[in-house]
Amino acid sequence: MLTNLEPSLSDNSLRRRLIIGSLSLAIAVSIIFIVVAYRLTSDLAESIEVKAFNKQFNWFFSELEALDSEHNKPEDLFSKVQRNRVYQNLDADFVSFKLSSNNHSLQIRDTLDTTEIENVIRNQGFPLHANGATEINEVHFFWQFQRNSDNTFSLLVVRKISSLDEALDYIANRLSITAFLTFWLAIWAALVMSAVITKRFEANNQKLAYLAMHDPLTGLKNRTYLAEYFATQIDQQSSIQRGALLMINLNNFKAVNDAFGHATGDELLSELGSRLKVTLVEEHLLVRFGSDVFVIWLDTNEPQLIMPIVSEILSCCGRELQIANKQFEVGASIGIACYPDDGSELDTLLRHADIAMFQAKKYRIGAEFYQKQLPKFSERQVLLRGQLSKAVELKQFVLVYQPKVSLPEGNLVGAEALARWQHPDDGLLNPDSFIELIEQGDIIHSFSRLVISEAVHQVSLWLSVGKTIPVSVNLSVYNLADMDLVPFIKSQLEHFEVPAHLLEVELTESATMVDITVTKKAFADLRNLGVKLSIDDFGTGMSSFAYLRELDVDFVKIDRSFVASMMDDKRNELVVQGLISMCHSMGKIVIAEGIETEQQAHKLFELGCGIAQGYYFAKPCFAEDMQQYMV
Amino acid sequence: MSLIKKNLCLADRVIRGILSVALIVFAIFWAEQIGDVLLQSLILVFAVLNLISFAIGWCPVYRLANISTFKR
Repeated sequence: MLTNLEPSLSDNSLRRRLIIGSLSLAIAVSIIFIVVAYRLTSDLAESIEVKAFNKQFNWFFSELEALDSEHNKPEDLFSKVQRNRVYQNLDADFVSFKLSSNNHSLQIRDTLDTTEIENVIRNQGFPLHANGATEINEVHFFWQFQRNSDNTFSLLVVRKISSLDEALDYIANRLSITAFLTFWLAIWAALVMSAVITKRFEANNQKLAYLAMHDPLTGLKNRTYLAEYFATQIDQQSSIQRGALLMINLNNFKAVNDAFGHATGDELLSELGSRLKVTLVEEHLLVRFGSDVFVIWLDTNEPQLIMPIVSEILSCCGRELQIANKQFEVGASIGIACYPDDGSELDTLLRHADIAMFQAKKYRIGAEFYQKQLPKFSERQVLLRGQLSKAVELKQFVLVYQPKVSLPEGNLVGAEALARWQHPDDGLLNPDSFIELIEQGDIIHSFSRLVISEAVHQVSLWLSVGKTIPVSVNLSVYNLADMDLVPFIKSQLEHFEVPAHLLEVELTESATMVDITVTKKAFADLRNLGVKLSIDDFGTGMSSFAYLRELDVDFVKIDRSFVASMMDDKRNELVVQGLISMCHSMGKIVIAEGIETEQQAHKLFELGCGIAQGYYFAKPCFAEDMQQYMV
Repeated sequence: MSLIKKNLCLADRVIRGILSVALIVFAIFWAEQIGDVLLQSLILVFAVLNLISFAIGWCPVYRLANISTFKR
């Protein structure tokens, strides 16, 4: 769930790579230049050298030809040549100079054994003219051979090639200096380039890191940051030895979101986020953890230091918020898990803070420390909460029906549909263990739709076998804020062809009532549809009488607690009597819940209650078992 | 002052000083070996730049590259 961010490429490694890259490029370019320049120079020098050699050879040959025509005897020619200063001072590169005439030969230079070259010429069949290049002992030579057309004499000259060495001499110094300067420039370029790129890279990295670590709506840090903070600051035996994790959940946020839309909800969160930020000092880490969940990390685990902060947060969340010209009051519930007592890992601390928060919410006590002796039950709650949406999706909820009977005859007049969770591991669960969880989440809407759809379907099934049994379903106040609920009920009634008056909606009294006007509107819409309305658990809530006065309902269900205590205490009996007569005078039909004994049934009948429901008459049962109660 | 802030340590400066003196000597007295006026003047430019860096303890390339070997 919590992932660490990949460590970003460090400044140094990028810089090193760039410098190495630039240097390699400089070296490669230098090598190419050196090779090309060397070849170019040596080719050029060689071609010049060959041309010069050809010229010299031709000059020698024509000179000798002229001399030869004057002296027919080879001895005369040879002596003339030997006396000539040109031949005496041949430059050192002429390694062999061989003149042949009438089977006599004169060798002016003989620093090279020319047998091999002469063999080549012989193999070619003594042509008039031949030339070539040869390599002897790793030294390169040009040679040129020519004989005159009368075949009276021939000349072979071999010359050493010196152009390569000279070319090297010329270019070596300059090339190495150029290479040195190129390296220098390359290092400059690499340093500057790496600085520019690193700067850009880091800017992007920072932007990405910010996006990854912050919540876009509130601008606060997000859960990724929290995980990172924990991984880097707390796991490494660092200076932080103690701390506390506060999980803050808004109490009425869902109602606001449902009633006024997500835009208002978002604005509320953002406003609250900045409010919390102002409340806290810099050292305390504030994180938006989930939709309406904030997490605060405090650097202390002393309750006397935590509590002032907690109460400040509670009052900060409880203060009125003004958004889009509307006043909102969302309270908060805070769960506190201390580090390291309640866990040394983030996941554990979060889970424990969640459990504590759940307790705080349940008992409406604002804030609660995590307590080790409590976890069994609460951990299960947290576990179940995680499985709810899957359960709704898989339709793991089934309905059971508890008959309502008329007094005193005991005839079936209707049934209340009650949800059971067919849990894959824990078996059939009663609403006590999951209704509260459902009401806390968005799942309430899909859950209620599932229940309504199922109940209407059942009514239609009974109708098809000729039984008319009105069925009541329980809705939460949160459902009333759902604008699409009434159209949904209408569509279900039409789909299953069930008359609207056979469906009854029971609204549980709740102290978390958001807005009586919203409820009134929803009730009016339902009434227009023809659906019957009833108030459940009447007498327990804070606003019972307001409800009764404001809401146009058909039935009032007296809470089981009154029925249970009615027989023991005369005063309770009087209360029930008062309730019944008040309801009657307002034209409501009274239903009594939780009747377990015959005496209770009698007494209620005496007091004027017309309809009853309870174990004395019938326990909740599956639809197919309802047959036994049908007359 | 903020633009020219020392960014060379002593070792860095000494290396630059030695290098620049060596290059100047080379460029002037071994001109024939170099054999090219362009190269010679380039070497001199490099040497002089390094000499300036050596003298004031600040290298513009280091500044651009955001490097500093200067230790307090």
